[in-house]
Parts: sequence; C-alpha cells; structure tokens
Amino acid sequence: MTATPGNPVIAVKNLVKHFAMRRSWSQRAAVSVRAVDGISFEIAAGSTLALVGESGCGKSTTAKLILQLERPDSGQVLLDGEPITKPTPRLRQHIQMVFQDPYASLTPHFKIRSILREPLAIHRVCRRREMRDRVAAALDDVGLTAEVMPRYPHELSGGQRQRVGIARALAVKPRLIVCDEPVSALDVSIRSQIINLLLDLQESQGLAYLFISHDLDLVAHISDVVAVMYLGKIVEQAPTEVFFAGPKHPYSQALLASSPVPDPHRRVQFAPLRGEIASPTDLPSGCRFRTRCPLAIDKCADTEPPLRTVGADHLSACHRADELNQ
Amino acid sequence: MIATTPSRKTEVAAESGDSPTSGPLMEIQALEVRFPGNRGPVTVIDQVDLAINHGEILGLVGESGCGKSMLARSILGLVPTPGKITGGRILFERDDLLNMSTQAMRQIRGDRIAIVLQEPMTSLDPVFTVGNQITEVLATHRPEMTRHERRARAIQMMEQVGIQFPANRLSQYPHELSGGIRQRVMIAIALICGDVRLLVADEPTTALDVTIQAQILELFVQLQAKHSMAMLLITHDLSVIAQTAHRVAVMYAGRIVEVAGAVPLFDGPLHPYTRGLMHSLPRAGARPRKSRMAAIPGTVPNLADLPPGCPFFDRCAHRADDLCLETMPVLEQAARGHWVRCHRWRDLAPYEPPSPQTAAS
Repeated sequence: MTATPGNPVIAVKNLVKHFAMRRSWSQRAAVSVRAVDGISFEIAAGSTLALVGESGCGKSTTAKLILQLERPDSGQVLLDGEPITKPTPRLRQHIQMVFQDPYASLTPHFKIRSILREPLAIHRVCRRREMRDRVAAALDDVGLTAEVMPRYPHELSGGQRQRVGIARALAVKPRLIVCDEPVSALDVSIRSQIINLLLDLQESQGLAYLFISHDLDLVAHISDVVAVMYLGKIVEQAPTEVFFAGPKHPYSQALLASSPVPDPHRRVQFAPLRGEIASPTDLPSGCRFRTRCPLAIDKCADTEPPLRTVGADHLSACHRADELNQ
Repeated sequence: MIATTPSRKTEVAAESGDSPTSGPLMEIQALEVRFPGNRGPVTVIDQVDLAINHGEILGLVGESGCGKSMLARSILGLVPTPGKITGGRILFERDDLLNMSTQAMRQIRGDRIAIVLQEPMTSLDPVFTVGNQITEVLATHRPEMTRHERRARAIQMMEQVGIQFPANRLSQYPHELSGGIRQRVMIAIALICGDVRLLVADEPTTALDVTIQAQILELFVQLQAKHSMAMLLITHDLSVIAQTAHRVAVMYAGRIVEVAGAVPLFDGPLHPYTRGLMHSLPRAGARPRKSRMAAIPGTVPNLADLPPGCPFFDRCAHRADDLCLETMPVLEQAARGHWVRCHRWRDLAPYEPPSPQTAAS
C-alpha cells in the first residue's frame, strides 16, 4: 500500500530550507522565510507520491531541493539509499522533471528534434548515429510521430507540447520524475490524455512520480500516497484511499471541502475555510494552521503538534486528530 | 432558424429577477467577431445567440481559444484590434450596444456593465493605491460626489466584499495584498457604482488557491443575490459552474453548442462534447484509482481551418459521416430551455452519468 516496500527510489529526511530576506533596506536584521521546515518522505519504484497544498506552502521548493537546484540547509535527499550532496550528472539522469507550462518550458528556437537530442547528448546515453532512432522512440512512447521532429514548439498544441516535455524527461531513462502541476495549464479535454499517458508510462517503465498538484480529484485518481503541506511542513500523510476515506487533519478536511464538486445538486453554500495562509516570515506560535483552524484550542498556540501516527500508515500533525472522525 | 427567434431561448425565465421588465436583460443575436489572418479573416465568434436574464448567473464554459473571453470583450465593447465585430446585435436594456457611440458606451461600462478579470496580479495598476483605483470609477461615473463621499463609499464597498480594515487598505498598493484580497478589490471596483445590472467575470478564480476560490465564489453568489444583478461567469472549470450557475452555455470553436439550466445540463448533457467534458472530469470514486480516464481524443481545431460542417466532427464518437462533415448543425431546442447544436442528439443513447461519487469529504 504505502510507498515503502524495500528500497525507495528517493527518500527525503528532515529536509530544511530557509531563505534569508530583508524586510526593507533599513532593516538590517535578516528575516527568514521558512519555505521547507523539516519534511520526510519516500517514494518507491512504480508509485506516486502526491504533494498537495496552497501556493507558498513549499511544494515547489521541495521539488527544487530534490533536483538539487537548491541546496538544503539541513537534512538529506537519498537516491537509491545513497545521500546526494551535489548535482552530479548521474543524479540529473535519474531524476527528471515535467513542468507546469508547456508553453514556457520548451526552448522556442529549438526544433523538437534538438530539444530531445540535447539530454541524450549531455548524458551520453547513446551514440550519435543512434540518436535519431532514440528520439523517434521517445516520441513514439508519448504518442507522437516522427513528423513533429522538424517542427518548432509554437507549431504544436499545448497537449502535444506537454507530450514533448514528457518525452524529454523520459529520453534519459530516469527513475523518478518530478511532475509540477503537469496538467493544470492544459485544457480540460486534453488533461485526461496526458494523465493516461503518465499512468501508462509508470506502469511500463516502473517510474516513480513526485506529483505536485492542487487538484485533489486528480490526486485521488493518480497517486498512491498523499502528503499535505502547510507552511513548509507536512501536516498529513497517508495512502490515497485512507486519506480520502477520512483525512485526519483539519486543513486536509478544509481542502477537500473547498474543492468544488461538479454536481449542481451538491452545492456548498459557505466557504469552509476563512482567512488566508499566514506569512512564512511571521509564523504563528505553536501549530501553523491554528490561525485558520476551526478546532484550535489553547494547546495549539503553545505547542507545535508533531507529525505522529494516527492510524495504519497514517500520519497527522494535529493535537486533536483523534477527535476527527468522519 | 434560431437567429431570428433568440428570445425563445429565454423561456427558462428569471424567477429571481427583481425587475418588472419582461424579457432578458441582455440579448446577444447572431454575433460574429473576426480577426484578420494570413489566409483571410478568421471567425473567432460565429453566430452566437445568447440571452442573459435579469438576476441570473449564466455560466459560460469552454476551452482556451473557444471565444469565451472574446464574447466578454464584445459585450464590453473592448474587442482588441485588429479584431472586429462583423455582425449581430447586443441588446442591453433595449439599446444596441454595437450601435452606440464610444461616449455612450463609456457611460455604461463600469456603471451598469462591469467586468472582473482573471489575473488580479495584472489587472490592478501597480503604481496607484487601491483607494485611488476604487474611487477612480466614482470620479468618472459619479462626478457630483465629493472626495469624502467617494472615500466613504469605497470603504463601505470594501467592507461589503469582505476586506478587513478597509480604511487602512485604501492607502496600500496592489503588491502589498494577497491574491485573494486583490480579487476582492477588483470586485469592489466592479460594483462600486451600485448600479451594476450585469457583471461579467472572466475566469475570476482560476489564479487562486482552492480555499480562496471557495471564498470568492461564495462572495459572488452573495453579491449577485444582494444586488439582484445578472452575472456572466466565464470559466473552463465545470465544477465552478456546477457550484454557482443557474444556466450554462457551452462554447466550442467560437460557437455555442449547448445551452441549458445547470441541473438539466449536468444530469443530461446532450452534445457529445459536453458529455465528453463531463466524463473526463476526475471524480473521487467514479472509477478505480490509476485506471485510464475517459478522454476526448484529438485536439481543439484550428479556427482558421474549420471544416464546413460540425467543428467537433473529428473528435466526435457519434458522428454521421456525410451530414456532420458537410452541414453545420443549428442550435435546436431539445427540451424547454435546453438547446443543442448537433445533428444527432436525437439518436444518442440516454446520458449515463459517471458512477455516483463516494462521498469524499
């Protein structure tokens, strides 16, 4: 059920990243943005961990830390059990990324052929004369034909471009793909095509996905494990079925209740959550969510709730998790 | 032909309308918008007939490039050059907006018809304070008001849209506000004249987080009822429509393909495109996890290169070869207030909704 049988492809242990910033030129004392504040998870081959949360919760920083685009302040990222300390070519080959916006993530003056050859050349995946075949094979894997090779990105539709983005990630045979909102920029009718493609590729190639998304319905469909982030911390983590059967953190419950249901018979009259996410430079004492939490008690202001086991494979960081029964 | 009988489409009367005026608030008749292209003009809005009733929320759904934002701009008289409205009429309270002088249109825009745009980050001017931008509308439309009155009215309006400490916010700049508050400011700007009959909201929550989206949608529904205004809610998100709209219009490739009440549309969509959209929504519990999702094959057609027949032809699972390829279907009334543009709607099997949701929340 969980993504922890045997050896995980990627493991993250107590990862911390704070960014220093000054409030203004006159205020010399540095204020730090606690973007990622001690998170841990593992992803096994062939499985998907979904990272869910509002903008500014640290999802993208987590992705950057895994890709070694940012150096962590403390904590470790382990690839196949070995700690990663610097961005080696091997790491780059094993961990690839699919970006949110297929309009911005393909170099506009490269032909599709060159876009796909580049990773092959950099990682010396194959000989020069094999490249054409490898590129054609990569395109075939994502449901495109060799016809697109001499074209430029602007000649393709959004869905086709996202397929090229996926082909580029796949070309070097990675183990883990970080998918940062891979379908949110696409049209509704194209989304399912790309999701189906990602599911097929995972099955045929045993890929692990870190799937960053805010779309809970989509997460319910494609992930094996869900981790909910709030202000730099994971506040709840559980296998997908367990999570959607009964989340054990008031923030997760609010997220679920906030996402609109495509059914006019089930209208929600009132927004389930008041207020907005607190500033990561000025965190509330105790529980970070208490300023918006409908269940906050005095204890929440005093003590930060640890992420603890509240059920089989089910972690929650809430003092009152045990009272939350659906 | 439908072009001559658009008023029939408004049979789903606006019960909630406060106005004694019978008939719709706005009637768009045979609207056509064209842009010059490399190989002759491209028709981005083609023969669109649509009525917006008093006091209703009309949802307009469609994919990017289907013409839904262009329809909003046409209503406000803001079609960007080199685009041109090349045909049709837009009747608003018995006036044809398309025959109006620029001056007269300016009187209406911002006063009786207002718009809220998608990106609260880019639609506010970064170099003016929030107060400045809210009161600017009053300075234009209510020149008789004094500065004090304008300020008081702005504070009152900001309170109404749920902005805390409005007096302090007046002197702040847009960059100091969060996305949710910026969108509230945009709504305050749209409604400040207090006389808005039609509010056009173009993807008003797309850039927001879900918890904030829920707050803003709640606000829209409240304000719409309170001001008893009509609202045209444009979005690509069927869930947002399901939660808010009274009636829904579905657009595809510049044309309206289906119009119906929200409940009939979600319970029994008739157009194959609408059905495809409904089925491709991921719904918790609707199908086994990690199974393949229903998808509409292919991509949206290029507007410059549309077939003579149905624009959905090459993606449609129910097409009849000759008829659908060669003849453009007309918008037909399938049931009272339910209109569909498809040759084959009578032949389709009854709609089967995706299996019922297991309660996820």
